[in-house]
Amino acid sequence: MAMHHCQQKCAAIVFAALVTTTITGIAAQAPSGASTPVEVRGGTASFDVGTNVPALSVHGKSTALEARGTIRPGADGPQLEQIEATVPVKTLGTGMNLRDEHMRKYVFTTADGQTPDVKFSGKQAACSKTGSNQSTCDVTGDLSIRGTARPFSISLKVTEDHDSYRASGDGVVKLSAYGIPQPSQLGVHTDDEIKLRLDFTARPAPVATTGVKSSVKPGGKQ
Amino acid sequence: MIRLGYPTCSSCHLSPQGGGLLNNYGRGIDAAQTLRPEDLSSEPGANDLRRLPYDMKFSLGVDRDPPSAAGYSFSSSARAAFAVSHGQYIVYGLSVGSPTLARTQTKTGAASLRMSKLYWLYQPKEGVSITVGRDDLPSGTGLLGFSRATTSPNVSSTPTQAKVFLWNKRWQVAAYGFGPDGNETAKKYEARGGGAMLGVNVWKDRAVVGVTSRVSYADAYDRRNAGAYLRLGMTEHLGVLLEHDVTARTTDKGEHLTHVAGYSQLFWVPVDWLQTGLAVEDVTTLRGAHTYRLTPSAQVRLNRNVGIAFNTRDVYTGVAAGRSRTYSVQLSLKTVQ
Repeated sequence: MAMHHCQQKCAAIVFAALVTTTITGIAAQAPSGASTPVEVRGGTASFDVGTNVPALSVHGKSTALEARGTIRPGADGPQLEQIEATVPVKTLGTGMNLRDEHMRKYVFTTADGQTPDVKFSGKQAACSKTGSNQSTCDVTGDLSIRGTARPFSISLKVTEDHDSYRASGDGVVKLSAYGIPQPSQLGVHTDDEIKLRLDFTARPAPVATTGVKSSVKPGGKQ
Repeated sequence: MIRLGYPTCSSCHLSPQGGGLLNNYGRGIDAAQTLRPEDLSSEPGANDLRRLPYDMKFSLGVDRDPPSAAGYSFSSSARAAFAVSHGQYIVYGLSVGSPTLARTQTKTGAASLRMSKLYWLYQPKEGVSITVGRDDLPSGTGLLGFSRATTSPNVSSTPTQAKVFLWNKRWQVAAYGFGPDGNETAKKYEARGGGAMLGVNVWKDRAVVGVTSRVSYADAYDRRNAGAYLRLGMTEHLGVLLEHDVTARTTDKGEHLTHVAGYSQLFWVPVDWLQTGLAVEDVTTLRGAHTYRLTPSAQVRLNRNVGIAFNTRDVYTGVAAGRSRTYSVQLSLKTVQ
């Protein structure tokens, strides 16, 4: 029984490996115009916000930015589509625990005590080629903080490196747009405007994972 | 604090020179960085102007330089200010030190009482501060141990002075003039002079580089000093403090001496309440004398009031004198109001 179970499972694993290799290969060799699913894991989202004290700013970051989308190569550089990005609030830190607690409490916590992840959703981005392997992409979409979505745009500088894309860019978020008061602590309060910076590398997504599940299911147990 | 993106001291301290009394925000930061962090913003009147901010510190130290017996010392310091108005303070600081006690000693020195600081501090607006009175001279890294080590013990470390600080997010400038304060060991060491310091915030509020200069004139010797410093926070846990000086002296006998002094500290703060560091100090003269000191240290802040510090100093003073190693543990009680 155990052997039978293993045979089925092992066959599924081998099949999955074959499908993964094949599809990843296809994605890497996708002809111009074909969309390739990509994903970001462990990207960096950092922020800087000034205060009413001239020489004092608050800096923080998360290295848990995750995103999914598709990239379609084009004559003007890669076109980004169906972008979904997430930064878990608990991963945002400023280097001081108590300040992090305040940040989560005053900026990211909803009236009912929830701290939903920061999410970005964009349908597509217009890119223009600036070099042989470099492009600038103006990404627009909705950024959700406290579960409230507001329009957000960011200009990303994208560099193609074999089958991956390195991207970085700066954007601005206004707390007032989300109805969030500027956090204040012992006479020091932050500005309304927060500068965001994103740094990440997008790689072809392991699309075979989905395919394997559907391929294996008819044949046996998972 | 440079590791957390604080390029100037003025965010937390009354004096832009740092190292002294804390403002309201600084008290909050101080209370946040302990094993048991406290949120002072919930205290009544936490945002109000404090008319009499003060802090007191009592320290019990145990030093051991094998094979000598351990020495025990007790010291205390108090600093207080009177807020004349918002942005205007009279600041006073004194310290009391006991003689070092050891079981093998039958005679000890006397306790010392020292009024180290008394000055008027005026901050007409954000980014401008004027100080007149007795205080430590400005230094690039704010490490008083280094600046005092590079100053002759015969002169006062807190001369009477007038100084101006100007700063914004990018630049930090200090200019000052100073004269005797009566703590010199002899009249010939009464020095008069001036200096300046210029620092630039060059990287994300986490790197400040700067230069210093100072000249002083006394009957015993004239002194010219130039230096450079760096405060760098590589990550929010790791950083470096560097300060290097060159000092040229011309004595009343016509001798010319040049000293090169360097201080380097690598610090690592894995959690808010634990600070560790490795400091290296190096002083050489053109005559060949050489002193080298290596100091690993660790400091634990148990709560707002109690801290424990440990360090060991490895001092090398040349082949003839050899080297010595001192172990030191210090328990500190402090209150900040």
